[in-house]
Amino acid sequence: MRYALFSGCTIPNRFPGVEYATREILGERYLGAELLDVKEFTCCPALPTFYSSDRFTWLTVAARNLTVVQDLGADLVTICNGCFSSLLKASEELQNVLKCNMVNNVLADIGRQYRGRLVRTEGHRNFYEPVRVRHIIEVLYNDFGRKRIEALVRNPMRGVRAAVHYGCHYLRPTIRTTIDDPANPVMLDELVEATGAESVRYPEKLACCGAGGGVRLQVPRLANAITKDKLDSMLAAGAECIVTGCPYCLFQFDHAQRELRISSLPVLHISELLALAFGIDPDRLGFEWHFVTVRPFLKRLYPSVVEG
Amino acid sequence: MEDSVLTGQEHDPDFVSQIIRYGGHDVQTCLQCGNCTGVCPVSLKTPYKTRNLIKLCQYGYKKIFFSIPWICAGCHRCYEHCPADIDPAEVFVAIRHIQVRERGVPRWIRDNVGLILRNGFGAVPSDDIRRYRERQGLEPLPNTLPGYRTALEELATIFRRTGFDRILGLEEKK
Ligand code: SF4
Ligand code: SF4
Repeated sequence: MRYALFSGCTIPNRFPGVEYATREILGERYLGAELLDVKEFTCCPALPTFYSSDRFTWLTVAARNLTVVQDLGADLVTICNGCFSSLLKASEELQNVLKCNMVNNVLADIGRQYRGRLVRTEGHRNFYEPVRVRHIIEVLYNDFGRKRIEALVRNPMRGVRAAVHYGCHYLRPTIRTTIDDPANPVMLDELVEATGAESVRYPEKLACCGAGGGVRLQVPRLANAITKDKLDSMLAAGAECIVTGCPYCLFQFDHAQRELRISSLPVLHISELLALAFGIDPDRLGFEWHFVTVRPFLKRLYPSVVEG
Repeated sequence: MEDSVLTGQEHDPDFVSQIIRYGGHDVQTCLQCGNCTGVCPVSLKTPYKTRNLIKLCQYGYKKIFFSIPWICAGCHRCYEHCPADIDPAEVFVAIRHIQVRERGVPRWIRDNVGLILRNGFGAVPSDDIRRYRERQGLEPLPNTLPGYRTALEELATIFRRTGFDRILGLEEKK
């Protein structure tokens, strides 16, 4: 398997441990995928800023990112719901010939053209398919599968009760491709269970974390109020950690808990959880940049490894 | 909003078609069933109810929207439950387009775009994070490498060609 990893803005700059964990688990030591190093990416771009103020600029900037990978013969893999949503939506809108031509008209000025990925050639005709935009959860689930992940677990998370949070842009809107059942998603639950942990059932599972669409930036109190409903539901179900596939949701759960002072559930990205389960040294995973301390949780899991 | 009486003076007959022009759905097909309000996390916590906002669109009360913060979280739960196949989130996106053009762009958007124009990304690493990345053998962030200038120039060209710098008022600030 070859992938072009799209790390985005939040992960490399705020939660670099998630990038490290992702590269480790996908890389040769564990799942054995080839990760291509792409240097020309820019912001996906972020939907709340670009998509809200000019749809065409949003589409053109996203298309530029897609042109960077179209000739690499690899799927683009995102580790953030925001990047996933923005680039997937763009890849689909670019299938509209009219829009694609308008975008290419601008891209011509920077010497680029979005064609998609070449699938085959017949005589003088080339056949292309849209660049495939994927999410780490779905890549782990579909390309590697629960069995292979289970087989790599060295530190089973037995007895850990995890509240799984998919995040809105992994599931919705269903007007675009759906990668999981939007009403009853299973992929993240199964990945969590592959580590030996239990995914608890809680009523607010499909609800928003509260931060999306620039809400956190403008009215943080509102974002936290929405998060609180979700946290209450998780706590009532007896969860002791939160697992998500989106760094922005992670950020929101982390911050809201610190500001609301109602709980201190550690929040983990799925890559971090798998890295821990595979036996990667927790001290290398950059947990110091989580706002809610992960220490007590780690201590319980690895009494011999973690001190303090 | 809740204590002001609408007189009809604010009515803009062009609002519905303007929303469509900026990529929103046709709000005239809304049945006012209220499903969207029922599932909306923002409606639950604020006086702004999705169904009412769509009603205000139908009546062309454009100005009201200019005084409401952009608080739709874009979670698209409303769309999943709308029997008329309207995505209120997309309607609000269209209204933001109109606001940006008629009333200017909110500061946080301009700041964020400015950051992306300078760095290619919406965030820059602190020294601690740079050190951590080095220690773990993570690739240096592309925007810290000299060749990245080209990508930044490409972004600037795109913004100029699409008129984005003019829409955001970025050019006057230079
Ligand atoms: S769910 Fe759809 S039809 Fe019902 S009130 Fe909301 S926008 Fe209108
Ligand atoms: S997308 Fe916006 S309007 Fe729709 S349910 Fe979510 S927050 Fe409410």
